[in-house]
Amino acid sequence: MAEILIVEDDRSINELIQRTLRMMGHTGLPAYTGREALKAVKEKRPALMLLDLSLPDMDGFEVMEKAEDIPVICVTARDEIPDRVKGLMAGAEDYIVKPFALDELSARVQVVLRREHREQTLYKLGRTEVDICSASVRRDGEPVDLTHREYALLKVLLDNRNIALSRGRILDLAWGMDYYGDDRTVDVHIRRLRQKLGLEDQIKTVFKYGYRLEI
Amino acid sequence: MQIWKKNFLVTFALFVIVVYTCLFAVVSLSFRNDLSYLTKRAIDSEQGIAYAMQSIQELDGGHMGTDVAYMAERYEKAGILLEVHFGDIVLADKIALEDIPEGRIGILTYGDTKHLYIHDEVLSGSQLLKITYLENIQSFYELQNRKLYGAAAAGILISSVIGIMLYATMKRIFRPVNQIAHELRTPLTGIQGYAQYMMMGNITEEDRFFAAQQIVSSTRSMKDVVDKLLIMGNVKEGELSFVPIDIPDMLEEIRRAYAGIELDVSIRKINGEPTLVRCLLDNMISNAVNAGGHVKVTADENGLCVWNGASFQPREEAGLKPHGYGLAICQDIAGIHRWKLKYDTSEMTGTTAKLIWGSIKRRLAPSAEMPYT
Repeated sequence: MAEILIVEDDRSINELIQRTLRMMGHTGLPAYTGREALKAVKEKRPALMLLDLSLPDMDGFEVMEKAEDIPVICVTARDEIPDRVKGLMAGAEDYIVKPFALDELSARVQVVLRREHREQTLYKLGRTEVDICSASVRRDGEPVDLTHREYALLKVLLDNRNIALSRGRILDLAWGMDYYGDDRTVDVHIRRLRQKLGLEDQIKTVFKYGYRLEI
Repeated sequence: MQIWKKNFLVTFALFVIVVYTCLFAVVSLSFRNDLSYLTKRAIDSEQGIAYAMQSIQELDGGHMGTDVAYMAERYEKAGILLEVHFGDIVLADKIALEDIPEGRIGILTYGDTKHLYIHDEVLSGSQLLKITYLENIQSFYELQNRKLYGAAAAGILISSVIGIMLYATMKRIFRPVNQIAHELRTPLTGIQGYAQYMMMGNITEEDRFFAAQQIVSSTRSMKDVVDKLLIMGNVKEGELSFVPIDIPDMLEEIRRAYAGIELDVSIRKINGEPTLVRCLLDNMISNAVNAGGHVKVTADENGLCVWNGASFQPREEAGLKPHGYGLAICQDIAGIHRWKLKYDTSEMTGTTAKLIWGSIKRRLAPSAEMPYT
């Protein structure tokens, strides 16, 4: 659970990102101008900053420069190569171009938080505990044997907790684009996970779409 | 590099190639003509000398050597060197050069200077009079070089001026398009994001309703941007077609999109660009509707009024996404038609948007089309 500063002058987009982060279990701190952002950085010391480069009162790069030790992901409409290079060279951890998919935003936030060791590594799902660091899963204190594919699937669901993922998306994320499996493979593995870990209530089926892990 | 900059560089490069090709073609042509004239003049001069020597030989053969030598000295002062052989006798030898190329006429470089040479043979009496004529034409070449440098300088000047104008024009065209493309991304993000949020999130009905509201608001923002593109497209084309517009019909059509608007229209037709006028009226009415309160639209020979009972308030307070383009677009369109657009607002009387038509000539269309200038 991390506090993430959202620097975006468009209130609707800011609210969207806040809600997405909340679904992931994080707290979104809104800032609509560069000045507000710098004030929040000083007072709240967020774990991560999602920064729009086009702010009404100052350039986003100036904010990035002044908020030196806070990891930054640029979330911006500026998609030209020079802007991306400039953003990354200025110290941004990542660069997302609008319009973005929510699961893409979620994944990139997870990656940066993990890199900064701010990401949650221990999850409690009912009677099941998952430790990402040691890649171990326990149910009622007893270790549970998961296959490589089952563990990969569980990790994808945890990384995208509270967000519905389509079967195709789960296939891509868990087993890679090169895997030519059927969507039914996902159903089979979900059923096994539910049985092995007792997560029938947590892993919800989203009708005609896919699955969602609710925490 | 941005596409418009690449386009600019390619266009500019082509332009520079064309300009310099033309300039150098003109300079080359000029050089050829001038050289041709110079050669003709030299030939005439040489032939004059040959004729004069022939005459000297015929009239005063005994003193020919002295006379020719005198002639050669006079010509030497004028920059023309002569070598004259009469049979085996050398009458004048002012040319220090040993090997003059064969051929009747040509140009050679002697020292650092260019010379035009002419070989001529005429029969004088029973002997052959051989004349070699060598004229210093270095000044001609120096003049041509100056012309060349002048052409190059002119080319640089013309290219610079045109280049700057081209750059400014392409930037002026591209930037708004680029800016608009960027500005479309924000409402697109809202639409895509909130749609995904509704599909993917474990959310309440309240959240769902909020998300739907944001999608509608983003759509409106996109419409504003599209309207702006429309105006730019029409205006940039340079010519707008003004036709008679049935104002009551147009207002009736707009009213169907917004509930509860009162209309009081006593004007039939007005001269204008239909798409832009529709955009203007739609913006005025939608702004009034969004501000809240009762909305009344009146139109007569003097102008059109959109009144709403609420006093003007910023859109954020109205709970809606700001539409930054609305007012600006309205002003642009009014300006194009030479109309005036004014806003009055107070807590007592509400907000009135007044559109004042132009002169009577502009109000009613005498013919189908009137080009905009």
